[in-house]
Amino acid sequence: MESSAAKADFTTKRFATAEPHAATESAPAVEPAATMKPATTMKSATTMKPAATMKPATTMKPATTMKSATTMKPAATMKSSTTMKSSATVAATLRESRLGCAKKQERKGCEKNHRKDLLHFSPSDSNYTESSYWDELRYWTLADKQNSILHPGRALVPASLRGETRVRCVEELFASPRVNLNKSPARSLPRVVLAAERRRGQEIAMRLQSFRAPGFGLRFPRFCFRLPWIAFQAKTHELVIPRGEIARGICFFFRFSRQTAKSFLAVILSVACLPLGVDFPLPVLAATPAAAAKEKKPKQDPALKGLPITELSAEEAILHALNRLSYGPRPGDIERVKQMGLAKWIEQQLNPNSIDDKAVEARLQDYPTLRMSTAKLMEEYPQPKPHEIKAEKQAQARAQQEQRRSDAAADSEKSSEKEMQGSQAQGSSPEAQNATAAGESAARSAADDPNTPAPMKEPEPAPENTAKGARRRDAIDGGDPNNIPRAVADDSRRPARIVAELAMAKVTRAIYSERQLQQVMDDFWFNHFNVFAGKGEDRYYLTSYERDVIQPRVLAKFRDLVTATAKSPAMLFYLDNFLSADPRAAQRQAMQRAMRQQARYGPFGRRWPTRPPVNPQQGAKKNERGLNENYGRELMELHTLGVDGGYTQKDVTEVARSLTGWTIEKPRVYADFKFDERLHDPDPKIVLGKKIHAGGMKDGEQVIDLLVHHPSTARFISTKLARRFVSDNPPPALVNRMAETFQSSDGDIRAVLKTMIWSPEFWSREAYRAKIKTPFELVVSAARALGTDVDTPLPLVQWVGRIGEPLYQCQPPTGFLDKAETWVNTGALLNRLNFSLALAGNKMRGARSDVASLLGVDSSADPKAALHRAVQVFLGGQAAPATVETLEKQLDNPQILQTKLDDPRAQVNLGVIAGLVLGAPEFQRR
Amino acid sequence: MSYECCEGVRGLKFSRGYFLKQGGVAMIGLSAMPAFLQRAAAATPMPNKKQLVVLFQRGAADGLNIVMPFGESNYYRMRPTIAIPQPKRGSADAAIDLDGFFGLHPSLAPLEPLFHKNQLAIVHAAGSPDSTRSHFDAQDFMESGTPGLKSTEDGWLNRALETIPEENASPFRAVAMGPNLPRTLQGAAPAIALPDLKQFKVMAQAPGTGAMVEGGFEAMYAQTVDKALQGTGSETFEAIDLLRKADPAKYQPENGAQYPTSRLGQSLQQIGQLLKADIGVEVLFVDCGGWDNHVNEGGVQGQLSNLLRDLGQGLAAFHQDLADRMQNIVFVTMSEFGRTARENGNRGTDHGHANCMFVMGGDVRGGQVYGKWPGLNDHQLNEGRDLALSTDFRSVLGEILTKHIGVADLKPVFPGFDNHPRKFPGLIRA
Repeated sequence: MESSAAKADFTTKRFATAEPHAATESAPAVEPAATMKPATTMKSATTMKPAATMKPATTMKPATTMKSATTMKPAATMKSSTTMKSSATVAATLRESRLGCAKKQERKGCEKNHRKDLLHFSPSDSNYTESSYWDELRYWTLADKQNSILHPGRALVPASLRGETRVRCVEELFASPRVNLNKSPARSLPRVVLAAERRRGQEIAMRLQSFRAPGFGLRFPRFCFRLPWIAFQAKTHELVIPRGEIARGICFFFRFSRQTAKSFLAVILSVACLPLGVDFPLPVLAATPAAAAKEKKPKQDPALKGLPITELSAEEAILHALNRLSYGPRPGDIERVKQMGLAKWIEQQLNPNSIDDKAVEARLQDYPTLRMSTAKLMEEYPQPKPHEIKAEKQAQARAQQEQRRSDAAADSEKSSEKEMQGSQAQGSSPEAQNATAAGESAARSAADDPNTPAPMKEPEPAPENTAKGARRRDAIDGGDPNNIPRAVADDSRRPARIVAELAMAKVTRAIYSERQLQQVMDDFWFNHFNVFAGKGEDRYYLTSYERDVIQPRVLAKFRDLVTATAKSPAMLFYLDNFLSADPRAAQRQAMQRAMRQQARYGPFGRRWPTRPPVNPQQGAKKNERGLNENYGRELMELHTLGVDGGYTQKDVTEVARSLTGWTIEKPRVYADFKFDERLHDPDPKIVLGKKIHAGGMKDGEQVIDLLVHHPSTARFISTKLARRFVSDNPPPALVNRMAETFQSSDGDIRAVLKTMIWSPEFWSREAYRAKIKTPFELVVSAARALGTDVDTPLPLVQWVGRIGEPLYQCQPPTGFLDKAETWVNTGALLNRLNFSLALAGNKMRGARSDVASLLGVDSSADPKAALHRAVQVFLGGQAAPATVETLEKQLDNPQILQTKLDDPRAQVNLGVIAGLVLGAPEFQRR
Repeated sequence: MSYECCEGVRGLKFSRGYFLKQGGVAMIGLSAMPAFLQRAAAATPMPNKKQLVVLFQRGAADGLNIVMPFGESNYYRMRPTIAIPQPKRGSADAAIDLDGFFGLHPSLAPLEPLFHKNQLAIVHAAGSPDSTRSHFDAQDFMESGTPGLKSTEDGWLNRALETIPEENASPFRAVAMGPNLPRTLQGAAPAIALPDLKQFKVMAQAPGTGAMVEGGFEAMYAQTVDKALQGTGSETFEAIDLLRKADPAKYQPENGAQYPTSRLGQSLQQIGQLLKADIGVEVLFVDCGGWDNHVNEGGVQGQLSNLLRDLGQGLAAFHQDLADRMQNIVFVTMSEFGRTARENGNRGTDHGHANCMFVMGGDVRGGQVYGKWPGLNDHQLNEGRDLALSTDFRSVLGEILTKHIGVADLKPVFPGFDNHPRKFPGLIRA
């Protein structure tokens, strides 16, 4: 038999680590209904002997935690007295007290069969009824009520536990004789549950191996470092920790723990911190002791002051910061940041409003749609009529034929003189080739077109005529960059132009905005709450979605973002929630109508009973309105909890029910959010074990509240942020720290970012250049590195699409995946190289870069010197020696030398060299 | 089986890949592989390697006018202006009789001989069981292979390839004709999108620097310590080499095949070209649009007819061009859903449900229309408006994947769908 001591220890530890979640969960939103739950537990708790010895105390949450974690007399909080105490807190404390008691007994050895004591009910006990069984189960789930799924048929273990821990937990639970209910009335259920839970647990364990928390052998030091954190939390919750409690806790700690030097240091530090606690910037507190110690090394470059940077040199650290927190360095950026101090630069980026950004505003004046309302966009950029499309197509077909003819001529010419070098005609040959595709890419955008991979016009507007076979390529999804389709041309009045302007503005901001972090976060959140421009009316809604919903909140509270997206027409339309209705709503309305008519015309009034619909098709369509779970599911899976966040299909349905009635008003005219009471399901719902019955629109808001405060959400969002900024598989310790900040700061995105940036993991050698640039990052960072003057960003937009990330055109709600595998493949790599050559070679329409002056080399310079300069300028001098050597050898190629003699074309050579360097493996990473 | 036959080839490919990687460092500066070696490796034919071409008709093709049940009187009643007349000997403006009940649209006449030579099978009343009428969702579901589940990240064809991992697979193992990788081919298995074969190369922007630039990139990626990029880099340059050898610019279709000049026709020609180049292509994807005919769809003549003429000629030319190679090829068409059984007030049709699929190739038991016919009487229609579904598209694709490509386990390809071989329509020869 396994040692029960180990078990008790395990459970304590488990709950001790789960504690901070419970702390933040003690939000006032907790339902009164929940308060009855502790009563049941209380009942069971009182059956335990130690309960009698508990003495009432006046501590609140943090202090208790401290105590239970240090295995002190745990019962202190049996009587809640502080104002902040909510039922959840009570539950948590109860749980802790019970476990603590058990452990204490075990230590003292006063009871041999303490396990039996833990199980105050035994199945053979005649008092053990089915309701006691449910009490038992509740004990396990209630403890962390908000995190678990209370329904006993589903999950018995708090949803915050994951992976192997969860499996172990479940196994422990069922292995213990207490729940061995073979003889109990509820015999059949637990087995089923066990099988299901175990399967689920293993599945999760497999999927989340990378998230497995490291073994916390050093629990005490860890705990000690939490002390200042607790103090901080107490401050934010405006609690007062009685000094006596803290002192006692620490004394106790000293007496009973096996201190190490480290923990000693930790305690000293903590005590020192306590009075100051809150004045410290949080991230500094969150940093691990190792980092804190190292930080004090005098070696550190002054430019890096205040940051936990130990492994990177000053240049590397600044380059790293510029690559991660901005879209890469522009010429001179590294020096500028160095002079300013990296920490100061980061602080500025975290407070974008403090940065003057007039220049980019001026550039954005070119895109009038950015400032239009949805109504105006719909009015000014209407869906073209079928006959217009037809006429345009015919014109195009003619143009296409002509182009094909000229193309064929060009082709034959080329094949005859294929490898002819140095002729004037050759310079333009790639463009001639592109023209081939240009002809084919007859220009109409996917957004207009039901035949491209993403057509859809949901509720079927004006029927569209489409003629023979020629498929139009979307203007911005990777069509030929040297050919601008008519639908997106500057004077176009097509809806495609709206999306094109959005994409161009996005590129412009990313290149020129001084508020770089804001742009990075804009990209991050848009991708997180992805909406696909190709879905019907969403092409009209996106402008407002990005401008009014995402951008103002990129560094705000996460809850605001979720609420704002949930109410945005773009999201409501994209994930179909605007269609979702209580299936009984139609019936209800019919009844109401009937009653109204009856009241008006009497029982035999006209048109009653109502006539059957004339057109059966219409009738069928009208009745189609029912519950649509699409948004409910994605809200939990993709926006908040994450796929393994611990929800069930039932929860999906319940969330969807809560959000019925959230719809769009006049979707074809101005599209505003509207809550339609008539479509709302008025009955109570149970989401993640919590009853939702606020009524009307509050139902949905309550659900969002519940979801954003869930520990799974903190983890999921922190992981995703760390994946974006640190590495594909971010260190679990970092994610934990970020998740803690997320919870303690009520989902403050800026605070989470601060925790991340002030963590040594962010600046570790492993994280340096660990991320593959997304196509968007590559294109923008190349333009920044070259100091390109972009007149027309459309070709850049098209290149981004070609390399594999068509902007605003990500079809699935998952958004683009932020992992290297997504972006590294054969076709994409070739396009990356070709892009670098085209941009650096000044062969792109509307984009000019002055490579010569940038490199500070004139045309007569030695190619090798130019190469070294290019490596210095574009890669920050951080290229593998082999890369440079390889390129040097290539430059010995007689072709290069030959053209070098031709002075006028020396400029071109520099372009080639710059293109080669920008295409180097080093530049593909950030 | 076919896999053993390939072992020798794989061995050879391996040695070449090995040479590329190992030799790369030594050969920096030479910048080019010896041509004889490339030829030796690439020109080796791959006998009996099975291939699959998937054609997606975007916009929902009108299956009831492509393969029409002329034996149903209700068909003519519901489509007064756009129905295709019953077959009549000698008339080019009537349905082409297939089996006394179903007929082929007259514009698909080039496919008739293929049907009667048992090279072409048709599955009717097939499609996705999901009831959505949104193009977006329906295409999404069909391409991901998981109707009703939107969060699937990859496509069914990619997952199918993943179940048969292949070491040293050709970079052209999975190819989509077009600028972007379609959902069907997205996923963990490498796949490339080729807008145009002629453009798949490094495009040096300055005259006279082509070889230097390509050599520079190739050498840089060959010696980088960045493992992920090194692997992809060598694959990329291998692919460029392979394609250069195949010389797409000089390609001429064989056996007098004449591809239509439309985009679809040109894509099909390029597909034929890729298949004949023997560069390890296993699956190909191509799509064509224009099928969303809400207004003036037309009957024997008209919009749909034009699209079908293009499709029919394209498929027939493909079959003619590939000739003997068709033994190893299966060509399948699909569309997100069918169209309403009744024509609408604009002489077109609206979004419906079940549709027809074409399956062509040497392994196909052709000459038959498969699937249980649900009937077109009012009470037999789905939601009272469109052809009901009797064959799930996943069982058609499942059969092709199992019997033709050799996918052993369909569960990961179509998760949650019972795809037992007993339930296959039986259209592929075992």
